[in-house]
Amino acid sequence: MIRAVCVFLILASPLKAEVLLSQDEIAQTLLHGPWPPAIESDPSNRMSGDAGAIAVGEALFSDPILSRDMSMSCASCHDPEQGFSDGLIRSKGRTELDRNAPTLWNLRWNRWFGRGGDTDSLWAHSILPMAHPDEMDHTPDSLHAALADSDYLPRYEALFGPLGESKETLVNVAKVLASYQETLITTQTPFDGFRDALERGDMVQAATYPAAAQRGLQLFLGRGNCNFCHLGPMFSNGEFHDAGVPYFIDETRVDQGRFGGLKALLRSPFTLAGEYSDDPDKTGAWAVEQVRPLHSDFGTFRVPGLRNVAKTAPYMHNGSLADLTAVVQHYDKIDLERLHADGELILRPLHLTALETADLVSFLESLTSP
Amino acid sequence: MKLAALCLVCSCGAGWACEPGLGAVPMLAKENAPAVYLTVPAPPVSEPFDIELQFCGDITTVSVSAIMPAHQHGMNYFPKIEAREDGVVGVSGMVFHMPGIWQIQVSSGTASYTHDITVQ
Repeated sequence: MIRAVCVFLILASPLKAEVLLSQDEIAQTLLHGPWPPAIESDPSNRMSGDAGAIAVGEALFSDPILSRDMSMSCASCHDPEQGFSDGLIRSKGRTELDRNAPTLWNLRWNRWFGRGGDTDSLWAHSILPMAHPDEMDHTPDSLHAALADSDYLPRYEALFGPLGESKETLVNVAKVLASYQETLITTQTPFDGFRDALERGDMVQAATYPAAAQRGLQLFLGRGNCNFCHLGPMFSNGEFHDAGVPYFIDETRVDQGRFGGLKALLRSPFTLAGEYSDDPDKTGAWAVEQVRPLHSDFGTFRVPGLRNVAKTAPYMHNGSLADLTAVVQHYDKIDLERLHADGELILRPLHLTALETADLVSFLESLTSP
Repeated sequence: MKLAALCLVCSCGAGWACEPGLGAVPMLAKENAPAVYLTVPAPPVSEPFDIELQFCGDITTVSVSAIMPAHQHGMNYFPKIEAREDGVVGVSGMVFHMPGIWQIQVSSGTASYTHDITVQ
């Protein structure tokens, strides 16, 4: 009998041994799912979840009518074939822009939008590129006129009623764009298969997740401290941190990051607390009403989610890191002199081996849909 | 900033009869300050949550904050403080945006109180 038990253990152990995580690491891993989270309509946008609005938004997204000189569309910088980014270090609008184009996946679960958090809703954020003089350069009046002369007018009026005043038109166009962007949700990844198998207790299935990715996950949860900020199903806490990336745009200009984003937010009429929200209960307005400006916001940027991260190179707010290996090496050899003097005691050089760097990259790649 | 200041401090009435609510825990006080009881849920990481305070003594003003001692940062939001008719001070809009140990800090007059809590 004893021999039989020993034989069973010997036969069973190789499979079980391939799940490398400790019980504590498994518990932490489960917190990164399930995926996707619950999907709820945005009460501040009456077009949220409306099939007609989503269709109009999708068409407008790729239509240069949203730029005043008809030279670009949203898809110019947020190309569906390039992970809803553009592959450039810094995006090109009417001129070279100051930041790398962020992906548009999974935005519906954000609290803040844009790398500096200039806005608190997806519709409000959709206004910014349309109205920015370096990007699509529309004024409310020019957009209103373009829409009035277009084939979109009947579909617009079916959604919103007769074309009203120009600022309202700008907001309404932003709301149909937001309704489309809400549908951009990443699908299940190899990591999700691993995580869900762990939750079911299916160690045989979990063991099929590559050992390199498991070792990378262990580093992510442990020595790397990555999940202090890249937490939850989104792999982001939705807030703003200094990752030690230079914030000089050129010799004379700096990117203020969250510091500038908050200034823009607090003077914007387009917030969840404002009159353009469709939500009488002002759900979510607590954030803009209670957000706390800090000196240390200067040069901090919103923690990006990591889902589909392998499809959105280059990385960081200024696109300065070409690939995931460069990102891992950045944190591995982080320059503490670049961090705020009163900054957080989280980031420290990791002194990773080449294998550990490759393992972390394997894990990050497993967060991407096939 | 005016809004923020108003959110941070409330004018509160006299302390209520000091019977801590179910699940309330005493906060750590310096020296001989009157007791303060805290009711706090298991905080969700990076999501807003509410706490309640019960003061065993007269109170005039209350301020509430929280820090992560190991990381040298506080919260990114001002909590909203409201004295309720039942004598409980409600605090809403607390956000712990990272996992780890947070310290809730409460001041009332010259007395100050702390309570450490671990966020998963």
